[in-house]
Amino acid sequence: MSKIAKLFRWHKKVEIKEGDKVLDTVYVRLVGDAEFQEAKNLSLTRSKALRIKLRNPETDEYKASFSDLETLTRDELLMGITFGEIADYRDEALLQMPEKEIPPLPDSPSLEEQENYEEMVRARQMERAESLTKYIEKRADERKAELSKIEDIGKLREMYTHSIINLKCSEEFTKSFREYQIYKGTFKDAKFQELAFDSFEEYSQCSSRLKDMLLTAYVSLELTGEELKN
Amino acid sequence: MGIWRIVKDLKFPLHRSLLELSVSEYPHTINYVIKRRMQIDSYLELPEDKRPPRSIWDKPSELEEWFDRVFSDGSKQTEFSLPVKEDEIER
Repeated sequence: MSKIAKLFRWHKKVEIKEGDKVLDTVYVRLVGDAEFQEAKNLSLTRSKALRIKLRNPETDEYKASFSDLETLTRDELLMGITFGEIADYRDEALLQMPEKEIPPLPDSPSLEEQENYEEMVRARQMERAESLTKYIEKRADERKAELSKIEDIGKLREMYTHSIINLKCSEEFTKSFREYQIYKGTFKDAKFQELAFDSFEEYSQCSSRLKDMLLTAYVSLELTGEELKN
Repeated sequence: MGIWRIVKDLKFPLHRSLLELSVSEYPHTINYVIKRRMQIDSYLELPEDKRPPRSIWDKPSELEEWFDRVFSDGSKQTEFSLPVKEDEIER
């Protein structure tokens, strides 16, 4: 399916099934700008709240995440720190290796020129994805080498905690961001007038199986950031 | 790009699936693409030597620097003058 066709495929009917039996039918659509922004604000609030809890050693959230902190080996701490920083390496890679400008097709291109052009665009995209992966792996190795010079294990534990808190907050942000969009994008009717869930809490308490079905449907309608830009 | 220009110039609905929606109800992905298209169109209206390179389209601070550089004569404006004719002032 071409990108333009996918862009206009922004809603779908979803049958909630138990085996072959259809239990209910809902209609999922991509949310508009206002709901998208609402989802962002709510996710930032939740991520901030989690960060506050994870920074307090008295909370259950801290205990659940860091109860084994004192028993972790140096290698495990290094792995944890770099694992938590992978999103940073990815952002760094995107900044260091901006997408190269693709020369435009000549005027009135022949069919063969168009075919070759498409092939060249695909090859460039593959090449870029490989370069980004290599950059991230190299950066993680460099970071591990850098961290292995730190002798103070207390310092490593502090860095590990910081890195894992960032990772968990980032996961919380992504989860809430996605779930709020699905809540606001799931309707009882095909005209998208009546939300299928009375509240976000109601959606949040649904079975994970139902949430997975709606997530699959919602994600299938989306285009990635790179697809939207190009 | 071709489709967007044709739709804009002929004032066609963007897509039949959007006919019953107001613009504020458009999916965020479509809104993003429209805004992006308008951004690119505005760059293409500039003389070639003033168009920002694609590599900085998503970097607001670099874009700002680019426009400051290509649209300034190198000197910063430090004062303004407001010509006022005294006889035209309402008393």
